[in-house]
Amino acid sequence: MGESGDLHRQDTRPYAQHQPATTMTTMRPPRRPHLALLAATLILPLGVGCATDDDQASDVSAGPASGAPTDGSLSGAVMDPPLDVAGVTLPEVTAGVDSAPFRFVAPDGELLAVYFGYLSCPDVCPTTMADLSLALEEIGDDADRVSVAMVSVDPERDTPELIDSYLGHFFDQYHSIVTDDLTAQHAAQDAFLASSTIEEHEPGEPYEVSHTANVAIVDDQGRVVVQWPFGLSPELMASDMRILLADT
Amino acid sequence: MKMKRTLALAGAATMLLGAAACSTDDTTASTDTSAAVDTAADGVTVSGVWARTSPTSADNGAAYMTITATEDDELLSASVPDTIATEVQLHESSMGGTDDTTADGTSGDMDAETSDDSMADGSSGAMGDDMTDDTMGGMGGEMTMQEVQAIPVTAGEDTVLEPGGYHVMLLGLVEPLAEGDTFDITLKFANAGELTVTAEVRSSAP
Repeated sequence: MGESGDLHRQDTRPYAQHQPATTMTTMRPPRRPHLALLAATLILPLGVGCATDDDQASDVSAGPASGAPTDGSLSGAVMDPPLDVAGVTLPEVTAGVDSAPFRFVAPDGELLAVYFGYLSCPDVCPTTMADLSLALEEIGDDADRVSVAMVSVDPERDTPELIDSYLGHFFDQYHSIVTDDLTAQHAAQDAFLASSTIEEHEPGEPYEVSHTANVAIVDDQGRVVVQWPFGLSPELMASDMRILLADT
Repeated sequence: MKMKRTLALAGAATMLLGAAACSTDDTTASTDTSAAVDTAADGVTVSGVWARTSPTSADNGAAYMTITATEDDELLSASVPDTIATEVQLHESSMGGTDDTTADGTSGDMDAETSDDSMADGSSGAMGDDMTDDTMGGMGGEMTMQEVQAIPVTAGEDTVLEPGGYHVMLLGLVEPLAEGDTFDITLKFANAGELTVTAEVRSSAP
């Protein structure tokens, strides 16, 4: 099983012509320095702790252990210094919530998990949301101290009602965030070192969306303290939350 | 006794292939209690077929499975009953630019150098060009999803359709996929022909 990931990747090459990812990701060059900076800060922690989907396969064959660190270290990518997102605001559209601007700051003693995604995404987004949901189940009562905010990067298709229903499928405590103000949305992504690209399309035509797929964990000071790469297992997410909640 | 031993062997073989269920002597049955039954035809074996539950607000879904074959083959297409989805495509999720970087086989350290360089000289190269997903763990670069014309199946190797990689994309779900539901997926292989497997709807991977 552990070999399948490599095989997988090699096998994709004959189909490279179907992957215009490079052109898609160069559409917003101002983001590049931020991303490179993020990359530089993340390499070490990720090398130690993160489980990609490929790694998970080998974890399974290695035994039942979750692979969670026993020394109290975080499995996600530690942000040092933490990103300050306390000043970021976007309109919240959660049902029953006043449309006051949402601040990306967890309530006192709590954590806020932030994800930039879109609803038509059949694979990466629901996988991450489902894994996060499993992780919250795993931490039991402590889950009351964690809320989830999803920001739609596809406001053309994701209406407030749809995103609200979507998050309600996965979570008890959530903030649905979508805005037609693309400048504000992109500014928020910049603050989180996130990015997304909407494929150019005619109105009404289907289009692809690419986006950074990590989950950012924000503390009650409005600081991103750790980022979870796509594919981090629910067990490791839970381990990180326990560690962070103990310090919060 | 002899019969039972044969069944036990069959069960062990099935488990090796990654499936959990082998409850009866009819191992080719693709219905009943579990969808995680191997389905085999003309040298192709498919196991662990599942689809994720879908929120009511999601139009699209995805199905996953493991394919093994005794000869090289290609999965050309998949289809589901029109009571499940209006269209089915083969897709691959990947990090932008992954194809370029995996060919280099660069180490994490070298990637760090590369990223520093690109930052210093203002290179317009995409994030994915600088970072392999091995070092980034799928983070930092944008993940993108494309339709693929076929999924190659290498003889004797597991071809894994899994979250974040290859998947069968279900477009235009007729009803939300609910936990415990099952539905048929007909797979068309270049050599092995058509094979119908049963997917189990689950909230997480089996």
